[in-house]
Amino acid sequence: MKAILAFGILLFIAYLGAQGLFSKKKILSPVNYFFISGLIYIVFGVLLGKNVLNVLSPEVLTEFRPLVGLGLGWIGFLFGFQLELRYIRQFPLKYIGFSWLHSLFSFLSVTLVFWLVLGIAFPAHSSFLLTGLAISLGIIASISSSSFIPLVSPLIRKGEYYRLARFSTSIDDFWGLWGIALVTCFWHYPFFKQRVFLNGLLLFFGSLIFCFLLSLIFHLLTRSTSDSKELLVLLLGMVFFVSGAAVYFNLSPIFINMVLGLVFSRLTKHHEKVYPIFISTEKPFYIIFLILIGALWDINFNLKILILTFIFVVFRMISYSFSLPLIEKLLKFPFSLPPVFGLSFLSQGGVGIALAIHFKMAYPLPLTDILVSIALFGILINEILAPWGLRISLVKLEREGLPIKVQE
Amino acid sequence: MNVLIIIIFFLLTFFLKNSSWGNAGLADGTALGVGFILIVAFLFGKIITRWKLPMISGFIIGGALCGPYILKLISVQQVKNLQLLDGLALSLIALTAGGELKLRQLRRRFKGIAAITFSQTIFLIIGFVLFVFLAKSLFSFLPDNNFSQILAFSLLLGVLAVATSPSTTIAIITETRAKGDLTDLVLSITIIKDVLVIILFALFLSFARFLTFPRHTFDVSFLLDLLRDIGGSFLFGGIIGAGIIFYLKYIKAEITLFILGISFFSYQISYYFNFHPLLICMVAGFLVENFSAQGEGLINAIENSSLPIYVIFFAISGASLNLNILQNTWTVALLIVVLRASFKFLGTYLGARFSGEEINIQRLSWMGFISQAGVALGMAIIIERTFPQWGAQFKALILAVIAINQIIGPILLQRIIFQAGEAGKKEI
Repeated sequence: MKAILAFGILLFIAYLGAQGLFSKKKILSPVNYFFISGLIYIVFGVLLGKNVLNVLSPEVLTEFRPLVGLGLGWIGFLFGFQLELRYIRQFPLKYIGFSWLHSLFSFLSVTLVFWLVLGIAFPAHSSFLLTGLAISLGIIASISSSSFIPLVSPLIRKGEYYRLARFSTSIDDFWGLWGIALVTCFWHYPFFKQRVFLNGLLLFFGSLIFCFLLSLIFHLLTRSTSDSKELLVLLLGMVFFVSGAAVYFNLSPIFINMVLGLVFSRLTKHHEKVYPIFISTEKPFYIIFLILIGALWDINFNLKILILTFIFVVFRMISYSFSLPLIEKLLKFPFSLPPVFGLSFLSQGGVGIALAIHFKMAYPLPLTDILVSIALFGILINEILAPWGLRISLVKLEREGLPIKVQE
Repeated sequence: MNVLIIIIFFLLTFFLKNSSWGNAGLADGTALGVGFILIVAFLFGKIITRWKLPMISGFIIGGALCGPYILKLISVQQVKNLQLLDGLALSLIALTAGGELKLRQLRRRFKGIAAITFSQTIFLIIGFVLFVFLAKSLFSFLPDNNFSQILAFSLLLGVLAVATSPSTTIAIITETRAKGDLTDLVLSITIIKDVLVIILFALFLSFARFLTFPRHTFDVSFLLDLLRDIGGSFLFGGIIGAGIIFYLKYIKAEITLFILGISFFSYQISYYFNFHPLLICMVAGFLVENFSAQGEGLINAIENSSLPIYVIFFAISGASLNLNILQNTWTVALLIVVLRASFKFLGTYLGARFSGEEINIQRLSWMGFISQAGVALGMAIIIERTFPQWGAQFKALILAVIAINQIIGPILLQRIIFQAGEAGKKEI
């Protein structure tokens, strides 16, 4: 009976996947966006997981672990491969500064708040661990969805606020992923007892050299083939290998694959061959990944988590909004950045979720489940709020026609 | 260049696995193993094609080389952890196999298919019974002068010899893009024999129990269980097939994701209800191909992503080949392989001649039935559990036979496809 129900859910998932994921219709309704962004698949994962139907039981999920590693790596590789310097160079340098400072302020404020709050909420735990946890939440908060703004593009006027928001959201994951690499190297589990700094540095630079070497090998492998099936094998093999090595060493598969994708993208001349593979595999991978995340999630819901999630959502929103006047002054921005503009960045998307689940895999501690719950509940709430935030910020600002075209 | 990259990967993996900072107790390196085996086995496949050998032989050899019995870069536990991918791959291959069976062809070639299947089965079973009785000194683990036990052993050896690997057959056909009379015949007989072997094995196992254990009666109630398992598999395969037709007709999008989901679901449900996963997917594929206009869409969807599946599946099967056993039993195993091939030749030749098949099929098609894999292995494990006196030695011998057959089988099948001029005839 359970299996038949699961079959029904599977069909429904596939149907939804076919109909709605990343479609550009009715994006500004929170309920629709919850479906369109794919977050509904996390709910399906929860239904199929041990908490409800137990079709994806812990035993089955153990067998699926390599796929979760692959999913994390795939997201990182995709991000790195698509991060083209040509695209970035089209924008003024101030935009890069904006993206970096915006992420930095939200990271610092959420980290600081959680560093204080976690110390009060969990006094029995070591400050080293709580600091790592606060930094991790800060990093997750500093990331916003790169697909949300492009999705709404047919629905709003494409002025300078739109350009800035689109640019910033498309590269702010980059800062977060470097942050996550540093956390996994310097808070390396099981935690270093001595020479934390030196060992962390060794891990960090060792992983970078590893990525460069493998990018070169990958380039050599793909240079002589033009068959898309063979490219798919090599791509899967490489991302599996690199993700597997990262998981084996308890480093971040997302970051290491991002570097792999970034370097490979610079070396290869076969972008037009590799892109179609991504396009054909992106949606299925993402859907499977979200379902697995839902199934892996040990739902931990109590008053403490509720309060911490509330703090996460509110402080992220505050830091995203109220850092804007400061950034405007620091960068001498050519147009005003009203705090309400910060509400355009509420959506967090796949990378935020991937980071949360990476923490679950890398740090098998009771506190990690709490972090994952805060992050995932926070992300779900932010996705629901995102269309509302967009309506009262970006859509409104662009409708009012401010500012007048930037003078570069 | 490929050889150099393989060496670099070997060194990298060796270094990673032996680093003191690796495996912090969280990961067993399965994902690392999958990546490593995918790339290395694929490169082996590429290298081996230079000698006009099939890629899947390269995948198998690459897997065996990296596996737990030679270079030990992938452990037995990691191979076990990959069972889910293995099962998924098997379900997808079975869907393709079912989809490649054309009802029209089956009707047209019914006489040839039936005659060759029947003739092969009879020759192999009778041949192996005679062989075991004549050369029983080779099987020192069998009790002396115990007719019943020797008969039980020989019958089971015979029925296992009938089995041919559908997955290897379909992989070679896909790789060579073969189409034609010989290809259709080999594929149809392989699939039909797969069902037949399941039935015969259940029958012979019960008879062997009756012969071996004095208090055991020849109970036919197992036939009811068999009927339930096979009937259930057919029924469930029908439901899955109808689901696929509905989806491909009305929803159409994200077909890859849907097929993956269906394959996973079939694999899971088969264990839940004790059905045969291979049979479920074959029936589903057969239904889609023959009772809807969606067959081509299904096969194309699977074939577009089939290469990574074949690499993983055959590399894992290579890594699973227990080469230590082969080292100890290779002489007897080789003799069995040669005899099996001879009986296959005789059975196929006479069956084809009787049914009036063309001369090419009479002389060549036996080489298409040599490969052996999962089904034979699964049966050997059941025999090991059922007959503690000689089951373990039986299984070891069968594993060695499978190891040899799985290396030479794909090569022979590819050879006859080229000889018959059927390679590259299928349009993509």
